Amino acid sequence: MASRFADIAARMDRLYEFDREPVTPDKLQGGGRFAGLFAGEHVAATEFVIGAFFVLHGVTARDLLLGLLFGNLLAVLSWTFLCAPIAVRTRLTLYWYLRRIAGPGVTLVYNIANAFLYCILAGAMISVSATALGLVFGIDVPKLGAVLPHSVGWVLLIFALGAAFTTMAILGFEKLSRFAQICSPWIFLVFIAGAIAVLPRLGVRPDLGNLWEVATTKVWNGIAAAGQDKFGFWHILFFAWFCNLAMHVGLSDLALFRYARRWTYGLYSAFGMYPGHMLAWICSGVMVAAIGREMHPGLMAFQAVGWAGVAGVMLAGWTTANPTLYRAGLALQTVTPNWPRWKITLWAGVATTILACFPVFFLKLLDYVAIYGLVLMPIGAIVFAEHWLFPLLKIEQYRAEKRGWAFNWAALAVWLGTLAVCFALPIHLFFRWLPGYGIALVSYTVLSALRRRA
Amino acid sequence: MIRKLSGLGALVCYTVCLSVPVLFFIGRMGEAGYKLAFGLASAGWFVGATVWMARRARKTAP
Repeated sequence: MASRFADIAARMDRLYEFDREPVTPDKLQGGGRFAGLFAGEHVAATEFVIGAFFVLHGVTARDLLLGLLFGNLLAVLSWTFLCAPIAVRTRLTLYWYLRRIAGPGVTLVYNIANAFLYCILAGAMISVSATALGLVFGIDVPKLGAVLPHSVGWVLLIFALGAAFTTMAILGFEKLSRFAQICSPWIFLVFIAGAIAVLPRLGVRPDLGNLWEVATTKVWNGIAAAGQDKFGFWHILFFAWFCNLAMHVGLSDLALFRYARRWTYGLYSAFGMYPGHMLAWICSGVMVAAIGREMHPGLMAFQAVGWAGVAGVMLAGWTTANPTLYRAGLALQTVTPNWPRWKITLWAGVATTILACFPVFFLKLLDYVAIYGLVLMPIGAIVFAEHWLFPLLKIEQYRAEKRGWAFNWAALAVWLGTLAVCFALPIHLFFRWLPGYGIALVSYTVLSALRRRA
Repeated sequence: MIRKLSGLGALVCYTVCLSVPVLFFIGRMGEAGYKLAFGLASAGWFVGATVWMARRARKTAP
């Protein structure tokens, strides 16, 4: 068992070998590069769904605008004050830094959890694309609240798309990544053009005189669709904040910011948040209102922009599922003995396609995004405590590395314990991560301090 | 030269994509015309941007 684990840990290390060393000063990047990266990454297929769901959840226009404004600000500040400072001090990816703190065993568990969550996310992207392709073949999309596949046509459509996406991820991940750079500014245009084009259908006059009135009565009118919770300012604020929780508070973006010259480069995340997580969400909300509040991203884009809109939804799903499948494959490669990359990506693709058949993952996308961030958040708290609090409290850092522990049991217990507490908290799912972060931070520090005395 | 032309073409197509919905909104264009113009300009964007990117990659390659 011990030798099997040592073998897995060694394989995992080889896989991430290329970024084992801290980034050297000659490899640091300018701020423009970060602005471009963020702007390109945060206009994805899921944006067609998220903004539309805000309308279905009966948020008012004022709550939406203020919630997105401040929620995205908090996200930008989280990148700037939590993630970027640790990244520029260590110049390491989360994988290698977590390995020093929690040991290779916890890092392995983290990788597997991450791979599973990536597969679900890629599955949701495939489902969104299927709503567009379904228009071509006349296949209905599942109704709100659906959990299981509703028709053979839907399953066949998902399998066709899943097979195509997986094949392309196997054959040309890098080429497709370059193609995604061309797609992303255009997909952003589909959102903007679509929202402008449906304004006359909603009754907005060309002089925009009644824009606010239409926004408050026909789009974000405060009436939730049947079966949907009513959302207010705090739901929107928290959602915008935690939408990329695993990346900022969860510190996944150490991989990105280790190339930053200064920690203030975290502010460049605003170039992704405000166009992608504010403007695009507003635009998809306008579009869904124009089709009678039906959760059908493909139809929404088709009615607003024509066949180019259908292509937009397809491309958004494809270009964002591709890197997600790749990352899932990379994370899974640690537990599959000597498998080539194509085989791992194939199995990640198969798992993703099966998950995509279940419409619950895209119809409950907001909840899934919350759970995704929540599951990985305690790791960010553990790393933050070890990096900043331990030196202040004179607690020894990096004991797992120094003593050669495979598992830092305190880290694993805090991670699982925090999740157990969070899932039991009697508050809305969106708000649970914040007390959870405090619990993880305090409990890991206390456990580590007690261990020192013992 | 081709790199510059393709880059310029992509930029023009992008501007057209952004302008036609506005023209449709203010009533200067019909819905079918707007959708056709958006589709054609989109195709132009993909061709122009792809050529520009490929040429740029070739130029910066060691």
